[in-house]
Amino acid sequence: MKPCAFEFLAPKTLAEALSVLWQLVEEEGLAVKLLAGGQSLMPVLNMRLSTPDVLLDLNGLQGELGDIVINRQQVHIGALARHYQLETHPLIRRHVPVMAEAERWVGHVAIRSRGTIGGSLVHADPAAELPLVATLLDGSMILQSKNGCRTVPAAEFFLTYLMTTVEPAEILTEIIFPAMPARSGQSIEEFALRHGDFALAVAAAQITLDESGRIRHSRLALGAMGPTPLDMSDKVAQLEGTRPEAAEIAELMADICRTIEPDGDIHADGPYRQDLAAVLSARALTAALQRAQGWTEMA
Amino acid sequence: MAYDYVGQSVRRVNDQRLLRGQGQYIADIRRPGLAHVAFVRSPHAHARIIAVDTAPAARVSGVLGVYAADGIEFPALPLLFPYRTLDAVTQIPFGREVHHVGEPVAMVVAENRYQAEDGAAAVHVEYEPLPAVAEMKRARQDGAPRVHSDRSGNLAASIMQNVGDAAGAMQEAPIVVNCEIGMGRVSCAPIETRGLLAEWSVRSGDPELHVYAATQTPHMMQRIYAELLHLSERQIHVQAPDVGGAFGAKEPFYVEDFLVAWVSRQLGRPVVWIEDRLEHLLTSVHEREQFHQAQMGLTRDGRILAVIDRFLANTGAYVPWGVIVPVITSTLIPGPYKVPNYFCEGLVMYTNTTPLAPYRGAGRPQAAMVINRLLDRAADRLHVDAAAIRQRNFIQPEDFPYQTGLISREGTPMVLDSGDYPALLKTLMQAGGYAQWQEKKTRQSASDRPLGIGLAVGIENTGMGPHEGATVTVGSDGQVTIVTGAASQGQGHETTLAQVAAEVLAIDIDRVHLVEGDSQRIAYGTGTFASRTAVVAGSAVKMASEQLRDKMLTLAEHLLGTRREFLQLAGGTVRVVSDPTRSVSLAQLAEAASGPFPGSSYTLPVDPGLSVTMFFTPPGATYAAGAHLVVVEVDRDTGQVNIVAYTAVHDAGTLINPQIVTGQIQGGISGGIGTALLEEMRFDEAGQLLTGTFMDYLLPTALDVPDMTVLHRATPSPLNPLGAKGVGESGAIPSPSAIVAAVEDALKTEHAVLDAIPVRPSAVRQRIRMASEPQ
Ligand SMILES: Cc1cc2nc3c(=O)[nH]c(=O)nc-3n(C[C@H](O)[C@H](O)[C@H](O)COP(=O)(O)OP(=O)(O)OC[C@H]3O[C@@H](n4cnc5c(N)ncnc54)[C@H](O)[C@@H]3O)c2cc1C
Repeated sequence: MKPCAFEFLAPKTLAEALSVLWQLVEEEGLAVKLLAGGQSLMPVLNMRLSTPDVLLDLNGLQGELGDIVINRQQVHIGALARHYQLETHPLIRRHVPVMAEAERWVGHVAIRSRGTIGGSLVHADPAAELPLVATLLDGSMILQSKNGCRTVPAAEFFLTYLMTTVEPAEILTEIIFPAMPARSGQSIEEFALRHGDFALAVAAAQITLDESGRIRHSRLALGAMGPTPLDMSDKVAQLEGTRPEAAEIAELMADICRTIEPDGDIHADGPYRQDLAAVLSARALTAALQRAQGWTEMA
Repeated sequence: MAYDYVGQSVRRVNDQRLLRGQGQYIADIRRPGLAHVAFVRSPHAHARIIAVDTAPAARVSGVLGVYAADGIEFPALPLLFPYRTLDAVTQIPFGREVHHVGEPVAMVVAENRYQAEDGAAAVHVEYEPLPAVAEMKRARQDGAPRVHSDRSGNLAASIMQNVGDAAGAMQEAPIVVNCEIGMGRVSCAPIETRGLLAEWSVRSGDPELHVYAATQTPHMMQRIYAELLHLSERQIHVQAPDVGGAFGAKEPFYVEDFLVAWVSRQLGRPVVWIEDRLEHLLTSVHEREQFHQAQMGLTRDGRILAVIDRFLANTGAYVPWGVIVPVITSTLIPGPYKVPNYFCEGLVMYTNTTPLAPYRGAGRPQAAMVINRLLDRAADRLHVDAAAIRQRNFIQPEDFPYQTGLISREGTPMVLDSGDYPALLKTLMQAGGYAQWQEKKTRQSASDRPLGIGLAVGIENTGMGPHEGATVTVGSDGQVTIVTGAASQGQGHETTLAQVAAEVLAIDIDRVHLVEGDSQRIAYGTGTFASRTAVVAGSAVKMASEQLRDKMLTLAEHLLGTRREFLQLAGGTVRVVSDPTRSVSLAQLAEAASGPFPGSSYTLPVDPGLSVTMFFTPPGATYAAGAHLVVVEVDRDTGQVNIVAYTAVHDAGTLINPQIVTGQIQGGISGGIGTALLEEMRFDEAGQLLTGTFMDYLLPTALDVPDMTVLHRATPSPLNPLGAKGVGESGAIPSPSAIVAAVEDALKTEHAVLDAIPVRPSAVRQRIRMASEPQ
C-alpha cells in the first residue's frame, strides 16, 4: 500500500498553479493530480488506483482560496476552506446552516481538520454531504484555468460516480451558495452504520414559508441513492401552498421514494435504502418546516 | 501492608513509554542494509500456477531479488494441533496450487517498500483457474468443487460429543424448543498488523538466525524455524519486541514467517516485511464462522433435559491451529448449566477462503450463543423470566469440582473447577437494574423506539498448559528481573507479573522488571493466548519468587547470624527484627551469592546466584465465568440498534490488578459488540473478499462502544497458587448472545426471530416490514 513514484510540485500562488498545470497537462501531456486535504486522494494513491506523473499540491494557496465571505446575499467559499471551518464559521452557521449541520456527519475530527470543500466536491462521492448540500441549494462552482474561468451550477457539475465536469487543466477555486431566505428552515438527516461512515442514505431539505405560514417553497435532495445526488425539489413542490402535518409529509415521502431505485451494496440492499430515503426525507422536511416556523430575523 | 500489590490497580508501567511514542515495534527497528519485502498474492481463490515471469520485476529500480512459486520446493508448514479425525492440509510456501485469494505466489525484495511494490506489480503470473467454493454449506454438498484437488472431499474433521442419551431424552421431553443461528466470520484486526524482521549471522562457524516478530508465540516460532531450516534451536533467536495487539492473529506460524527468514539468507541481508491492512484482512486468520441447528428439551417447570446441536464450521483453506475452535465450541455449549443429556456433532469444512483459527473467544462465543438463545426460546415458550430459567439450571456452588462428562480439548475428562453462577447472575440483576429496565421497557413498548433487554451467561476454560516458566533474579543493584516465556501484546504483563513478584519479595514494584517474548532468555515458553498468562506465567512467577525469598532468607541467616524467625524482609532489605541496625540489602545478598573474588572457594549455604527458575504446569483448565445484561433501543423506522446500557459481572478468580482486568473485559465486550452488530468478513461465491478495507469491514470505534459497568465477583481457582482465572477473552464470550437477545426482545411485537449475526439495521428493518405487511 505505497503509491507509485510521482513528481511533487507545490506552487505558491493561484496564477503559478494555473500556469504550471496548463504546461504539464496541455503541453507535456502528463497526468496530474491536485492535492488538497488528501483525505480521499491519499488512499487512492496508496492503493495505486491512481498513478499520476505529477502531484500538484494546492495547500500553498490557502491564503487565496481559503476565505469565506458574504456578498449580496451570496456566500462565497474558497475551495480550500476546510470542513471544520464550514462547521464552525459564523457566516455559514447563519446563512447556510444546513452545511454546518452536514459537516457533523463528515468523517471524524481529524478528517474534518484537513479535508476541503473543493476536494469533497471534486471527489464527488454520491454519499458525501457537501455535494448533497450543493445540489439542494443549487450552488455554483467557479472553475479556473490559465485560459479563463467558467461557472457551473451543481445540477451540471456532478456527472456520475466520482466524476465531475472539471477538466484536467482546471482548478475549482470557489463555490457560491445563496444565503438562506427569510422565513426559512434547513435540515439534514443521515443514516450511517457507524458515526463518521459514508451515508447509507442522507436527505437535506429547505422550506420557505409565506407570510401566512404556508409553504411557499420546498426543496429536497437525496444522497447515496445513485451515481450523483438527487434533486427531488420538483417532486415535493406539491407541498407548496399547504401547512402539512408530520404524518402527511411521511406519507407523501413514502410515495415519492417508491419512484427512486437505489443500487444495493454489501451494506444495504436497494429496498432498504429506499425505505431509509423515505424516513429520512420526511424527517428532514419536517425539521426544516419546524425551523422555518421558528424563524426570526436576526440583527 | 505496603507490599500487598496483588489486588491493587497499580498503574500500567508501560503506558508512559507507549503513549509518548517510544514503543519499539517491528516497523521501528532499523538495521544497516535493511531490505524490504512485498508479496505478489493470488487473485484467484483456487488455481494452478502455470508459469511465473519474474524478469520484468528484476529490472525495476531498487529491486534486489524476485522469488516465485516455480523452481523452489518447500515443505508444508507443520501441523500445530493434531486431532483424532482431522485430515490436515497445511500451507506450502510457494506451492504450485493456490487455495485462497491472497496466498503468496512470489516475493520481491527491494531497497524500500515502494520499490518492492513496484517490483511486485511487474511480476507476471499465469494461472489456470480451478473451480472454487467459498461457502461451507456449499462445500458440504455432493458435487461441490474440491477445495484441494488432491483430496476426495472437503471435510476437514468431524467432532462429536455425547453425554447420556440426548435423543431419547429429547423424545420424552414435554417441551422442545429449536434455534438456528449463523455466526459471521470476523477478522482479529489488531492495531499493529503482522510483521517480521530477519537477519542472519555466523557464530563459531554456524549460521544463526535472528528474528524480530510481532508474535504471541516466540518459542513456538523458534521450534518451527529449527524444523523447517534444519537448524538447532541454539542457532535461532526469536524476539517479540513491543507488539500492538494480536487477538489470535499472531498466534499461528504463517508462510510469510518462513519466506522472509529464508529470503534473508538467500540475499545475505537483513530483511523486513510489514503486513499492510489489505494483506491483514486478506490473509491473517479469521474466526467465528459457524452455523448451528440446536434443540433443547425441558420439563414443564423449565429444567433442561437434553440439548442436541448440529453445526458446520468453516476452517478456510487450511488448519493453521488445528480444529481447536470448533472443538472448544462443542465442549462449551452446556456452559454453566446442568445438561444431563447432550449430543453435539460438528463438521469442519475446508473452503477456498482465508484460514480460520482462534480469535479472542475462540469458539466459546458460538457456544454461549447456542445455549443462551435456546434458554431464551424456552423462557418465551414457558412464559418465565430469562433470568429465572437460568437460575433454575445453573450448576450450583456445591457441585464443584463438576464432572461434565465431556472430553475437553486436551482429550481428558472435562471438569469445572469452581464458580458461583447463581451469585454472579444475582449480582448482575441488581447492578444492572434489571427490574427497573423491565418497567421502562413496558412503558416504552408502543413507541417508535422500543427497548429490549438481553441476558447471557458464559464460561471460559482458561489457564491451559502445558506450562510456563519464570526466572526471577536479583541483580547486584538489588533490582529484580523476571523472565518468562510468555509474550505481551498489550495485556500489561510488565505490571501484573511484577505485582506478583513484588508482593512475595516485599519490594517496591518499580524495582521489578519484566523481560519476555525472547527465546534466548528462557529455554522454554508456550506463549500468550487462550487467556493463560496470569494463571500460568503468574503462578510460575509466584513460585519462583517464593523460592527466591527462601533462598534470600537462608543466606541472610548465614550473614547476619540470626535465625529467620527473627528476620524481616521488606523494602529490599532483610533486618533483624529486634535490632534493625543489623541488616543486609538485596544488593548485598546478590553480591554475596555471586561468590567472593575469582579463584576463592564458595562456602555459602545456598547455590550461587540469587536466581530461581520455576515452571508451573496447570493440572487442568480453570473456568472463568461472565454474566452480561444489555439494554438496546431500536429505531423502528431505520432499524438502527443503540446500546443504552451494558453491565457485566465476571468471575476471574483472584484479581491481580482489577483495573487491568476491567480493561480486558471492556475490550472483550467491544469485540462482542462488533461480532453481534457490525463486523463480518464476506466473500462472494467465487471466493473474492468483499470486505478488504476498514470502510467495508466495520469495527466498532470508540463512538460505537457505550459506557459499561464491569463488576467482579471472584471465586478463586483451587488449581493454581494465585487462585487466578484467565480473563483476556472473557468479555467477548457472552456479549454477542446478550446483544442479539436484546434486539430480539425489542422486536417482541413483531415476533422477530434473528437467526444470523451480525444483526444489521437492514435485517432489523426487514423483520419490522414483514410484520407490518398484511399476511
Ligand atoms: C475515514 C474517512 C471518512 C470520511 N467520511 C466522509 C464522510 O462521511 N462524508 C464525506 O463527505 N467525506 C468523507 N470523507 C472524505 C473527506 O470529506 C475528504 O476530505 C473529501 O472527500 C476530499 O477532500 P480533500 O480536501 O481531502 O481532497 P483530496 O483528497 O486532496 O482530493 C480529492 C480529489 O479532489 C481533487 N481536488 C481537490 N481539490 C481540488 C480543487 N480545488 N480543484 C480541482 N480538483 C481538486 C483531487 O485531485 C482529488 O481527485 C472521509 C474520509 C476519510 C479518510
